[in-house]
Amino acid sequence: MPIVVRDLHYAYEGGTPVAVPALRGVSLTIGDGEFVGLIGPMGAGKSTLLQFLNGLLVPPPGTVFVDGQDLGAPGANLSAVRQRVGLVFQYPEHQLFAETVLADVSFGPRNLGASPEEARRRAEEALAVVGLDPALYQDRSPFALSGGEQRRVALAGVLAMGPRYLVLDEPTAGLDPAGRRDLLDLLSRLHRQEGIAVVLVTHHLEDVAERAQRVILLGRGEVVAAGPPGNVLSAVHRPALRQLGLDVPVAAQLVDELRRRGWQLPGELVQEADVVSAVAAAARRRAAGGEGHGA
Amino acid sequence: MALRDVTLGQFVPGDSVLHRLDARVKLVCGLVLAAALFATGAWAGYGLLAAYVGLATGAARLPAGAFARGLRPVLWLVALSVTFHALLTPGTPVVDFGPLAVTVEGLDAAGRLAVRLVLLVMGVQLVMMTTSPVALTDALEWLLTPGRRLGLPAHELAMMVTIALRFVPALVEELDRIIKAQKARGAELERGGPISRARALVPILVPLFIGAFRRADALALALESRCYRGSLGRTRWRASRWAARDWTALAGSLVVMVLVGWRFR
Ligand SMILES: Nc1ncnc2c1ncn2[C@@H]1O[C@H](COP(=O)(O)OP(=O)(O)O)[C@@H](O)[C@H]1O
Ligand SMILES: [Mg+2]
Repeated sequence: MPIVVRDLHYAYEGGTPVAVPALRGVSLTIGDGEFVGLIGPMGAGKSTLLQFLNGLLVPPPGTVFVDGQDLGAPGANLSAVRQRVGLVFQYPEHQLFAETVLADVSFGPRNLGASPEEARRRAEEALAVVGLDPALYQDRSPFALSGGEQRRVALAGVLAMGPRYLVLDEPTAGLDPAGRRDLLDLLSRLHRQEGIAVVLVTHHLEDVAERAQRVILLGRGEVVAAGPPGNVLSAVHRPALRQLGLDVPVAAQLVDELRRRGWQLPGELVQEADVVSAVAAAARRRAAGGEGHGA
Repeated sequence: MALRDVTLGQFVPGDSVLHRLDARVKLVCGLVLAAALFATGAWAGYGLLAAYVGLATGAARLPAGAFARGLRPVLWLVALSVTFHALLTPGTPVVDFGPLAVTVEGLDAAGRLAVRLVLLVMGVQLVMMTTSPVALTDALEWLLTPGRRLGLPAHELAMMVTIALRFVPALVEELDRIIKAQKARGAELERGGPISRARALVPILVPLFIGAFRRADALALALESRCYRGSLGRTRWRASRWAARDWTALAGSLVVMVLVGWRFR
């Protein structure tokens, strides 16, 4: 069953003269096992929206449902929801606190009432999933690790709770290109192998163009566009993306430029691999047809 | 972001009369205002000071929202102490709630307290919001200079105070984020006895302190990489001179305060 958000409005400091509207009627669905990219510029309301998905901010009744449960209903079991919907904040390594990696990662399961053995088992599993060998890492201090490793530990801390949905706020912020690719690969793997639904928040459109099944574009607290990446990042929406200050993926920019110069490139091309093969095919056609204009 | 940045009296650039006043004048006026507020006990005195603060607020041309936002935390304090004063001061009852009664004397005391607190905080806010941190540091240092004879590190103290003020909003924000992150991992902060509650603070305080040290480190590095080394041999780029308006403002303020302190005790 999915996460459903229906016409959610929210303002910080609501009801005061200094109210900041952050969400203005957001509606969306995150399907079970789906990989969704949530994109939007700074201040669009992404982080605010995420906090409603696991009840950290309590929504009005009838606006946010996780697997059919209304998070705004009086007496809603929010701790069960927080287990199902794992939320990884921006710079999650800044929330590490324990003396050892193992203690930190088992914090979540312990809070959920797991026995020490069970918590340990889950923590070791989660560490292995994020690519940190439990035998090597579990007794080390999290503060002695590198930034990238710390981020993995923090991610493991959420995974150890066994979520069905994994919601990540700008998880690649501050990572180098290699660390960033590794992390995104890890998310794709979690999605494919464990069937976990992933909601990836980012303002790097490349990240979602390559991996997400569906992209939701948020601007000024509203859903501006939603659909498959090819759709949302398509030429139709480019002006909106640019107006919001988001950089269109380089591959898509290349396609735009070639089309402007008269190349015939069919279809919505936003993913690198598609662009490469389409451009290669077009180049071959052009070579075969001599100095012709297009195919 | 923009809105949160101006909470707790953070500087809002502008070019109002108050912005252009010398920071030292503003600081002295603020201190004297505080003294006058506590020296006077008469409503006429409060009225005069309220007019003074009102005039200054008008002259500052600050965004109303940001200014009001800074006042809000204090309003809670005011509401609380007003309630206590109104209910617990013995005297002629106005409304009777059995063991508790709102008395005339209580209302009077509560009113005075509220006026004092609000005017005081407005004064502090006006100084903080119209003075750049650099100017504020310089002014503070100038104020502490007499203490240098006694070995007081005036420059360093002023710098520390300014930096601390600048860090408070950032730490508050960080605290909020950490609490949320631990809650997302199932932490329960409002459950159990005092011991388990105290233990529940560890996952919050440890990251908070580490974050504070990280910030401090980064700041120290940034200062050092620009060759900051404290007051030693430090000269000023902008040696501020007192202009006519500074003398006028100072004299005017002192007249008001002395009048209040003298005549309306
Ligand atoms: N704690 C807060 N208090 C007040 N305003 C906030 C707070 N957090 C966010 N905002 C405001 O809400 C809006 C949406 O912010 P946010 O959800 O953080 O956007 P994003 O994550 O897309 O950058 C912004 O205008 C921001 O300034
Ligand atoms: Mg954000």
